[in-house]
Order: sequence, then C-alpha cells, then structure tokens
Amino acid sequence: MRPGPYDISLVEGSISTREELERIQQVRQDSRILVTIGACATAGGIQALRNTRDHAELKAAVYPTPSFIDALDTSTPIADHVHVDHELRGCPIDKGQLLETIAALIAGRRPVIPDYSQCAECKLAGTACVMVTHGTPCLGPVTQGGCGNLCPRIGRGCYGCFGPKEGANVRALADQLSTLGVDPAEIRDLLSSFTAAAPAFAEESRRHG
Amino acid sequence: MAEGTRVLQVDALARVEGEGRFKVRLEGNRVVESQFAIFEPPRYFEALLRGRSFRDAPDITSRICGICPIAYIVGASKAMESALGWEIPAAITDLRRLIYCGEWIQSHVLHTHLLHAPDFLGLADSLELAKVDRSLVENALAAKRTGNRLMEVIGGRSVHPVNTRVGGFFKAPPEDAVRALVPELEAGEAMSIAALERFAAFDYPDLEMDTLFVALRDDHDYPIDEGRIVSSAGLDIPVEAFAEHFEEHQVPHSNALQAATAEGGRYLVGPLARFNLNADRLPGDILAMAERAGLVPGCRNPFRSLLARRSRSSTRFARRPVWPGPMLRRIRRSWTCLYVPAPATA
Repeated sequence: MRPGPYDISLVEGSISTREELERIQQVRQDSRILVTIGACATAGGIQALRNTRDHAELKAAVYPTPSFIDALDTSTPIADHVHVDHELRGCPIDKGQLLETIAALIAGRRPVIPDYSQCAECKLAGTACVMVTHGTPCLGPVTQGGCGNLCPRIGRGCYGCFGPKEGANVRALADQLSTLGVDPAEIRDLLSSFTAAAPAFAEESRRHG
Repeated sequence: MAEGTRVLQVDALARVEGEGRFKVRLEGNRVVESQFAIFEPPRYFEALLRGRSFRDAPDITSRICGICPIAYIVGASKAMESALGWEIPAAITDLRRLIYCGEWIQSHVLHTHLLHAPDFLGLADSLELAKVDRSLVENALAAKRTGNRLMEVIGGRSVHPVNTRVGGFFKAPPEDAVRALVPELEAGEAMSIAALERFAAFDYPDLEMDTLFVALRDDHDYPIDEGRIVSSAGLDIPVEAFAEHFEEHQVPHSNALQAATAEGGRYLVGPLARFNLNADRLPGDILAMAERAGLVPGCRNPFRSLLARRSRSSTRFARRPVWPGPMLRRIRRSWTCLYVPAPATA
C-alpha cells in the first residue's frame, strides 16, 4: 500500500479494540477527507449493544476461554474519536450514495444525500403505509431515508438500519406503537439493532425496559 | 540451505474476506510453528440474541458478513424453524436455494477471479490482472452482477437482503423479474466454462494433504443448505448431532473459535470437501469438465479447491434445465403468501 496522505479515506467499522483507537488517529492524520460508511462506523453497529451490558458476562457466554479476548467494553462510532467530514448511513450503505459522495468530493462539491425520513420515501414512491394499513410496527417516521424504500414496499416495517433521522421524534412513534398494542419488549428490540447506540434510539429504548 | 530461525509474517491478509494475520516460524527450511490469527474484533452475536424474539435471529446474525449474509439468514432461519417444529414447503426451500445460488455466484467469483487469480499469475491485484487479461476481469464483474441481481430480485437487496424471514419470505419475487435474469445466467454459464479452462492452466503447487473432509450430503442435489453431515472417514449424522461429533475451542492468538472433531482431529470443510463427498451429485457434463480441468474426486491438494469453486459456480449456472421451468411453476403455485405463518397457538 502506498503511504499517505490520501485524498479520501472510507472508514467502515466501529472502535471496539485498543488497536482501533490508535489506528483511527493515524487514518485521520493521513486523510484529507474522512468519510465514515455504514451503521458500525456511524453508530457503533449491532455490537454496541454491549455498551449497556456486562461485557465480561457476554464474553463468557460466547467464548470457552474469555480471558483470551482483548476488546474494549464499548463499541463506538468513529465520530466519537476523530473529526469526520461526511457520513454514509445504512447497513449496508446505498451504492448510489457512495458513488454520489465520491463523485461530489472529486468535483469539490457537497454530496447530495437525502436528509428526510424513510417515511417520506414511501410517500414519494406511493407505497401504502404498513402501519396504517396493517398495524405493522415501522421505524420509517424516525429513520433517515436513503435505502430506496426497501422494506415497506414488500409489506415489512422499516427496521431502522439507516439510523435516526436528525430531530426525529422517537417518543411519539413509540407512543403510537404502544397504542397499536405493541408490547414494550418489542418496541425496545425494534430500537435496539444496527444503530442501537445512536442517542435518539438508545434513549427511547431505555424507556421500554 | 539457510540455517537459524526465520519468521515470516503477513500482518493483513488481503486475499481473504475478513481480517487475518499469518505468521510462520522456520528453523532452517523446516516449519516449526504457524499461526493464523483472526483479529477481527469479537461481536458476541450469540449472547446478544438472548432474550430477543426468534424472528430477530436471521437479520442480526446476517451482519456477521456482508458478502455471505444468506449463509447466516438461511442457517438462523432453519435453526429457528427446527426449534419451532415448522414444516417448510418446497416452494420456500427452492427459493432459498435460488437466492443462495446468487450468493455463491457473486462470492465465489470474487474469491476465484478477483482475490486468488492474481496470486496464481504473480500479479499484485485485480487491477493489474485487468491490464493483462481484461476479459477475465470483465467476465468476473459480469458474473458478480448476475449473482447480485439474483439476490436483489429475490431478497430485495443484494447485501443484507430484507425479504427473508423465519418461515420463508415477506413477498414472492415478481415472476417477470426472475425470468428476465435467464439470459444473464445463460451468459454466465458460458463464461464459467471458459474460466474453468483458464484456471485449469494455472500452476498449482504439488501438495497432497492427509485431510479429513466434512460436508453436507443431500439425497438429490449438490448440497448447499440441506442434507446430512458426512465425512471422508464414513461419518453420516443428522445436522442436529453436530455438537456430539465436533467441538469448538480457543487459541490465545485469535478471536475466532477453532473447530475440531470430538477426538481432537482437524478437518476441512468448503468447496473441496463438498466436491470430494458429492462428486456423484454433479451433473455428468460438469463433473467431466472438472476432471478435464484436473479436479478429480478424492483430490487432496488444497490449492485445487480453487477449481472446485469454479466447478461449483458452473453447476449453479448450469441448473438452467431445472429452473425457471418447473421451479418457477412451483413458486407460482404459492405466489401470494410465500411464508409459513406462525401457528395460531404458538
């Protein structure tokens, strides 16, 4: 690999080991523009569920010799450690958004990435609302758009893999889910997946046990 | 000959789909120690699933790998269905096999053409390969696109598909979209046969390993996700009995669990094992092609597993006679509701 500095670095994955803590400082130093890609890099990933649990117990549940495992007690997004210039949400990211971002950065302009909710994508596509028509729990109203309206169009509720939209009113959605009869554990788990540690989702899921 | 101790170490293996380090210690020219370390950080999937709904298992475990999510989706779904005692109809298992074929096509072509072929040809990477053999790389990208398309049409997304669930699928894929893939798959078959001949000409190191092969074996098909677990030593057990015959342990230098037989012996899984234990399940013309390419059942040279991967991909493309005809007819029969609903009294 050629030594840096690099024009653009695409960083995937979260910070969950001591080596990664050091490596991300080096990556930042070597990069003119740092773009985080995916739910692990932008929110800590599914593995960030350990942030609120007993790490030693999790290790012991999976590994016969837990003492061999050397990892931090938390999994955190890249932006908790270094300055991030742009981020691409999603698990996985959207290919179109990646191409747009690289093309824009090469051309020296800001990438055009949607900042509206997934819910708005359904309206734009004319997809019938799964929550209104079937009472299916859906995170669309509070999740950042960009996936291309994938889940509701097959009759499935959005599971939030693009993470919370800025300014999302997660509590209002959770209240509506309760009204629909969704039990607290299900609301908690719905908010506790690939972007569980994103503050807006983490805060609301704590209210549901 | 060199005397004394030497250590060869590769800190980041760029030819694997993951993060690994390899270290070999030699005394003179004799290998005295080798260490394969997976330093990908632990993520505790098994522990994080506890206390959640069984319906979460496939989507969460699929995040282990974005290149082979179907392996985890199908594995986790089948585990949950088995625990629940659900019977899964043939239309669902057929569709699962089809989306699994998409994953094999795109994952294997990545492995054979883009990761391993440059090594066999002494080139730095696939970009270098494109300079000396542009069509090989173009064919690889075309096949990768076809595999991805197959996953997308059935799964709704090529990486981490959204249409799969415990019990089956959320929605049946549109028939015309599946049918539209047939020309691409036919082109892929021709490409795959040409690639097998090209790969056959590589210079494979002479290495015969005394290896125990373990793979699935199916009653009818070349196995992907169905069948019993068999070995080259005559083991033949149902999948449920795996834990009685195999065990997992840890080594200090790696985050990945290592597996052994209950007696502590090593075993090999993957394309070469599957080929050796299921050669008779391949269509005759594919087996003949593999043999002409230098891959004969009973092969103990791990380097030739590359050919097994290619033969296998050929097989997938060559399933054209089986579908879209009868397979699509079976899928269409249960067109609108391709999943098993939970029993009313769960």
